[in-house]
Amino acid sequence: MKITLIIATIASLLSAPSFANSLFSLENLERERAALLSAQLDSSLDLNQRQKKVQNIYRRLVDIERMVLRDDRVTSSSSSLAQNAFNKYELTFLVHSSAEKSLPPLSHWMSEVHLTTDSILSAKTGHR
Amino acid sequence: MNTRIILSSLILTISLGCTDLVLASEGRNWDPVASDKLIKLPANIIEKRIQQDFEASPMALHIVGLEQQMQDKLSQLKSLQELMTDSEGEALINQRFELVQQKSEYLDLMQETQGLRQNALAKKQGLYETVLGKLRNKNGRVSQGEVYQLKQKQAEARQRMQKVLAQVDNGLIHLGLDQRSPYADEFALNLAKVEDLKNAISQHKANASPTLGDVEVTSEEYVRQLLMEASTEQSLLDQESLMFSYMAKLVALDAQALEYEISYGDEDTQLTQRNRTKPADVADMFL
Repeated sequence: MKITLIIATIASLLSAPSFANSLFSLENLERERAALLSAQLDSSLDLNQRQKKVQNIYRRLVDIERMVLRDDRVTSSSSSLAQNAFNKYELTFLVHSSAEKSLPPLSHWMSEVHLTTDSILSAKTGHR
Repeated sequence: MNTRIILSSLILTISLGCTDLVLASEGRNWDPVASDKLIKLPANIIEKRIQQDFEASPMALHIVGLEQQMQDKLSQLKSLQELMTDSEGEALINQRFELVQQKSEYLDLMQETQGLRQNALAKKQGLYETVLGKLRNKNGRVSQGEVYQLKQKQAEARQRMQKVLAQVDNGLIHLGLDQRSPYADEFALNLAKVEDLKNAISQHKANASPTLGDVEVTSEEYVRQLLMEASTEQSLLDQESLMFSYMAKLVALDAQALEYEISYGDEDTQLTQRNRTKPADVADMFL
């Protein structure tokens, strides 16, 4: 009887708490990546400011990408956010996938979304 | 006359016993259920759990009782057979009648035991089949489900990341970010401990895979083996049923022979021809 009680207690410890947001780390990653791209594209920042800001975010992104890849809670439910994140590894794990191609994260991101110098130069402003 | 009626009814009972194995087993049932709790157990424990459940059931207890009665009956039969070697005449006939009756009762007990065993085995087989079905469903559901696919993708992504870890770390140093983050420090510190714990779990005997002849097998393979063993047992029980029916037939023949003997005497009894006057014997008197 006592053994059964102990097993039941341990089993309850083994199961993940239901109140925890399983996508917490992935949502953080999305926010940081958006912040990195924003900082890279922010024309109000000078070169020094941008570099400092980008380096800080880059540092955090390295850790967060690793956290997401090691976090089993992210894949404990088939949420569309997680599905989308793993279907687009190149865009989701920007720092690590850019390292594979030895490219800076921004260049890698731009090539993934098919933004080339030519396409930018040939773009025209107007209403869609 | 009375003995003849009893013998005839005995023959009828034994003959019916040969063909009809249906039991009246009210309150002696075993109704196992393949619950989710049972499926979660390791395969080798599933077998033990089912056996344990059966042994505690009214059906198993009744079988034990019947076995005991059969043993008692068997000793009665042996002593009766010994007694018959020294008997003759009317006493022998009575003892032979007693023997047939005791044999018939023994067969009744054997029939009931056999039926209960067949019933228990059929239930066990059904249970193993349900367990196997549930195990297959579970594995199929896991391997086809979206969550499984997602986990596979995460594992692939993790492997992909592993290849560039050093490169990314070097990139950080190159950027002048050579101080490791608290996450990276803690993670590296915990990693070795985590591996040790994982090894301890994989080597733990409660987590060991079931084995068949020293070979580790999956739960599904183990349950399939149990089903095979059950069908072996089934065919042996079928053979025992055949033996039982032959034994019943022999007792019925014994009873029939005894009935004929009481009615018409034994084989050695000669038919007595009544004297009749033949014409040839008296023909001379008319000459």
